[in-house]
Amino acid sequence: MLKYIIRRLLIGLLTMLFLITATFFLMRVIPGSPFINDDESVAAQKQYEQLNAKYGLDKPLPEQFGIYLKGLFHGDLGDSLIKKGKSVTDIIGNSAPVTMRLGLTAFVFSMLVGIGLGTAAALSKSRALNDFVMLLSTLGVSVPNFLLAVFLMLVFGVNLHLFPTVGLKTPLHYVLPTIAVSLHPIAMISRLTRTSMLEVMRQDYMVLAKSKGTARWLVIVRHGLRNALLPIVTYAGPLIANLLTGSFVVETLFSIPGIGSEYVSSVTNRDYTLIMGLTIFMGLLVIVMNLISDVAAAMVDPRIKLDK
Amino acid sequence: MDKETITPVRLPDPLPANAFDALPDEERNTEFIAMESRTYFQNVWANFRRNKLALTSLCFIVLMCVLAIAVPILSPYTYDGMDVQALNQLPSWKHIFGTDKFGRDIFVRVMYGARISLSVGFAAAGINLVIGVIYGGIAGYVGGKTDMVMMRVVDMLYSIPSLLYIILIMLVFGSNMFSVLLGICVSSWVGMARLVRTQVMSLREQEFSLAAEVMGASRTRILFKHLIVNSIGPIIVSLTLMVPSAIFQESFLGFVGIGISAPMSSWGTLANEARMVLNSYPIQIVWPVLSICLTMLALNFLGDGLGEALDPKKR
Repeated sequence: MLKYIIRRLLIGLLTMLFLITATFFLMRVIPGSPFINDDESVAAQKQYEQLNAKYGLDKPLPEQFGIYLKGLFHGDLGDSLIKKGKSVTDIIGNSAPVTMRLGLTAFVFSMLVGIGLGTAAALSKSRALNDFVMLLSTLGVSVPNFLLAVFLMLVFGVNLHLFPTVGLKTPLHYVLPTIAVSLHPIAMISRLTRTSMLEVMRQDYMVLAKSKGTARWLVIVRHGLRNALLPIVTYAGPLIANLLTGSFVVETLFSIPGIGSEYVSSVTNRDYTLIMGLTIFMGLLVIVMNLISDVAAAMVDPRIKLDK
Repeated sequence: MDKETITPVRLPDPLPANAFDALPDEERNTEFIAMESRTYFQNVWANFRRNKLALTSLCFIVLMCVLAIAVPILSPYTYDGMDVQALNQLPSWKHIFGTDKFGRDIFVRVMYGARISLSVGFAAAGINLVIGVIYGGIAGYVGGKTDMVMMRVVDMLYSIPSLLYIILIMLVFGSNMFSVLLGICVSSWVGMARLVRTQVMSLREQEFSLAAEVMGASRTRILFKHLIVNSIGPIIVSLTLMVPSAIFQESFLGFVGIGISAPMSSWGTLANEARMVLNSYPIQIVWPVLSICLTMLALNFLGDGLGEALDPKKR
């Protein structure tokens, strides 16, 4: 197990290096510069050059890359080129909690609803409930979340005035974005839970538990659900990474100042250091979350062997 | 236990006179097979046809493709032809989906959008198929060190947040079909490669693969003619599910405003344009949204149906 974790961490390190290198050179190829240079006057040209020199953008690319890496190993992500006087770490520190609050809310919400619906559909013989879960999971895979967000904003925000649609200040603000982000995960989770619950219910140990005279709900929770949730653990890792790194459009649509919208604006502004910082942050989060979910899956299910 | 009571076998008496004669030729049916013999794909088609939902989906997608190809012949309007006399019109016989704020016919624009969205979807799936099958096939068949190195590369690409890449690539290569495809394909072939690798690894150990080797087939031939052909089912299913995910990513890009640029438009771009006038003309957003959702729905149903039909254990 330890060997596996170490190997995975090494691969993760390699991935990060690749990610950093590729992003660094890719964004320099993007036409445009963080500083506007449309004024032909000598003074403006001079100022432009000075700005470039100040941030080291006039040096050859490999040298800049070396400087950046050196700073990175000291934990320094540099200063934002556009937002004057703000370090990249500060910007991430401000925007990440916002995204994470929304992401965690959506994660908990979709887990609860998804597992609940999936279990209910697997256990109950009600045709209507089963049909509803199937409908939901079909909708979840076919309706893109940005379209759902627009629809929710229009119906519940603009027409019915039930929920606010801008920002993320009060608990009420969370309702619409959470639903918009969670529909797809709910669909996936409820489908997964339903299939694996149906599978588990057929196992011999369920019959045994029942024949021992255990109460029905105890059989379901202790023997059924615990075994049926294994596939969900594998799905949860990438999901939480996805939710924590933010949904770009949903954040933009609801004007939520999170990492997703920060990333989109940093790319359009050519804010090189901020792009790098955010990419590193999100990449790291994804890698760590994937590792955790793989290890967790092996820990809850002794049948999974990691070292192979 | 009681003693078994033996009941003597009673022959029907009297026996027919011809009981011990040979059967006439036309009544001999030792070689008769109750089910007609069908090839794999005939079988798949027979299974698939029974699934009404999947069949309807297939018809819908074919119809969409035909309309997208034939729209310049069918409609008097062009995708960028403006008509200042008819701005923001509601659906009518003249413009069945209405017109947008420049007086352009929305039906024609949605169908041109279908050209872009569908071709991005199919092309991305095609590219993923080729790269994924070759890469995964080689990794799974050769195995050992090669497999180790190849799979580490896959692991690396797998853990990169793909949207970051798509956005960067779009900005580097501009807003055209090529960069959308490149961005989508950079990371999505990985899933196909993993799938093919697992399939090939398990098929490699089976007797028919050994038999082919004994008969002197080359390694390339075994890999492509035996192993990959035998894993065609899961490959096709994951292929059908790749198309909607590519369409989703493309329409997402269009919606954020960095997709394929005006005046050509994909469904995402159209939805984004309609969002601008959402409060005054909400009907305009219905068409692109409906196209995206129905197409994704149809492709998902198609994938599910194919998955069932392609399973060789079912007949």
